[in-house]
Amino acid sequence: MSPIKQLSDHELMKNFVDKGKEEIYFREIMNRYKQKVYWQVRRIVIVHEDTDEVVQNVFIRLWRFADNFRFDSALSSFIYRIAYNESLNILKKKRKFTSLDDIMDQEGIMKQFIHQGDGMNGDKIFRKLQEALLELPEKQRLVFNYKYFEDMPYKEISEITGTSEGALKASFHHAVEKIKHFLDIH
Amino acid sequence: MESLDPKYKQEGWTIPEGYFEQLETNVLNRLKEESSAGKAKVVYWGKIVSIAASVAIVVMITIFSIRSAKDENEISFNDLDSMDIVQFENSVEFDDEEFETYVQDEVIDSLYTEKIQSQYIDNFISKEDLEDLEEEYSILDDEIEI
Repeated sequence: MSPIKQLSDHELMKNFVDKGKEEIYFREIMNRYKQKVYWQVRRIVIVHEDTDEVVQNVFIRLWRFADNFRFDSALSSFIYRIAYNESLNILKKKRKFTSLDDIMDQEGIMKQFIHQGDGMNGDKIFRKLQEALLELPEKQRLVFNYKYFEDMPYKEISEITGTSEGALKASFHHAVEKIKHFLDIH
Repeated sequence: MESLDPKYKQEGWTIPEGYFEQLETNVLNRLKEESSAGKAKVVYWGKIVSIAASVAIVVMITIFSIRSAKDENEISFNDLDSMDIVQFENSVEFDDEEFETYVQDEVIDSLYTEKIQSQYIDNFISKEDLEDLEEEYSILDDEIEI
C-alpha cells in the first residue's frame, strides 16, 4: 500500500494545504470520497448529468476553500456539506430556468425520469420508493436519504444541513410515515 | 428507518461506464481551465482598473486646477473699490445711440417722466452747488424782472 493511502483524512488535508495544494493529495481525497458524494447527490438531483456537474463543483470548491477547513471537524462532514449546498443550488437553478410556458416543473421532470425508468436498473420496488420520495417536501427527502441509505448519525446530518437533531428526527419520522402510506396505496 | 423494510435499500441507478475512473481527471482539467481563465481575467481587470484610475486622477486634477484658477480670476461687484467704479464710469462714453442700445426704452422714458424728489437731489448735488444754483437762478429772476 502506498504511504499516501495510509494517511488519515486530516493528515491528507494538512499535507494538501501546507504543500501548496499538491495534486497527489487531492487525487487521494477525491478517490476516497467521489463515490459517497456521487450517490448522495444522485439521490437528491436524480439525473446523472446534473449529478456529474454537482460532484465536479463539490471537488472544485474543496480545492478552492481547502484553507477554510477547520481541523476540529471531520473532513467527510466538510465535503458532504458542500455537496448538500451544491445539490440544493442546482435544484434552485433548474427551477429558475424552467420556462413559464413549460407546465412541468423540476419535480415533474424528475418524476417523469423515474417513471420512464431513465438511468435506472433497479426493480419495481426501487422505482416505487423513488416515486414516494419525490412526493416528500425537499427537507424530508434529504433527511430520509442520509438516514436510510447512508445510515448517517443525526449529529452528522445536523452538521451537514445546519438543522437541529430534534427537527431532523421529526422530519425523518414524517418522511417514513408518508412513504409507507404511499407504498400502501400504490 | 427500522420501520421501513430494508428491501427498498438498494442502489438502482445506472451510471456511464468508467465514470468514476475519469472523474478525477475531469475535475483537475476543469480546475486548470478555470485557473488559467481566472488569471487572464485578473490581468484584464487589472489593466482596466489601472487605466480607469489614471484617467480619473487626470480628470480630477484638471477639474481642480480649472476651479481654483476660476476662483482666483472671479471678481464680484462687492470686491470692487468704489473709486474703480467711478473711474470705469468716467472712462466709458456713450453717445445717444449707444445708450439706447444698452438701456431699455422704458428706462429712458422713465428718466424723462419721473419726478426727482428733492431728497435724492441732495444725495447727488452738494450743498455748495445747490447754493450756487440758487444764486444763479436769483440773478436770472432779477434780470427777468428787469
